[in-house]
Amino acid sequence: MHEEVYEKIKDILASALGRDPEEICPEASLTRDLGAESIDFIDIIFRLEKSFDIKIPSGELFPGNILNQEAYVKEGRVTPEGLAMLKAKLPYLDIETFSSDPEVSKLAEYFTVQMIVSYIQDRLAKEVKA
Amino acid sequence: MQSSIFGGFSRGVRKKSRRPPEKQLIGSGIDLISVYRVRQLLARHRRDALHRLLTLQEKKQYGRQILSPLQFSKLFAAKEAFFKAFGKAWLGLEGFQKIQCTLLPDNGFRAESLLDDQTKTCEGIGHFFRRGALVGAHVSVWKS
Repeated sequence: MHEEVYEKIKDILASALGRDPEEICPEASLTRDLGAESIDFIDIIFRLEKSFDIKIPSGELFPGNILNQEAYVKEGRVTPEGLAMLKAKLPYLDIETFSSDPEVSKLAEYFTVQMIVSYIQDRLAKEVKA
Repeated sequence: MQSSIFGGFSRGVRKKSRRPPEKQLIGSGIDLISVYRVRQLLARHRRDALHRLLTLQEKKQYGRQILSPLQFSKLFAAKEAFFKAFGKAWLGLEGFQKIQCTLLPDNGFRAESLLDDQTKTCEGIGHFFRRGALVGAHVSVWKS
């Protein structure tokens, strides 16, 4: 089942980003390695929802407006409070590595293929339990 | 009449002139988007895109027309530029739906936030530019 989910996500990302499926690997960053832009995130969310028949609430897969309080971002950098918020809301994001240089502008580089795979797998597991 | 240390004479108490309060510039933002890419998105997810990326007022404003890829690109770029002016991370679907954008006749736009955070009291004034299939939006955001 895990392999099936991964392959499906690979196809979705390859199609959305105009890439060869061989270029999609778990560690690949959507922005840095696969060239995703904000319009692509929208496309990816919609495709995942349709493909897996789920609804992805805002802020559950990608941060969205989670860092909306002034205390979370100061001078372009995520504060310790902001990092704690990200860790709580987005358990699939690699917060440890990001926290070494928590520039808001670089946050999108940490959105990886594996992040999406882990999220979808957990969502599907919850749907089965329910 | 009384003499003033600045010279001349004054008649009674001088009223202070009332200037409108200066607006504070919060920041500026730019975004570029490919109309071609938007056309692909709308071809695949038109209903979802219009339902989840437009505010209620925008839906009422554009609901009866067929929103062209160019118009949608402008709205998208304007909202992204507005959000970037605050130096924040990607705004997400919720953010798009909470930024009200009004296209103006002179290739400009006005944007305001409906979010319940520090962006709430801010207003953006911007303009669009084009190069081939790319549409750009540049906005200055002011504290209202």
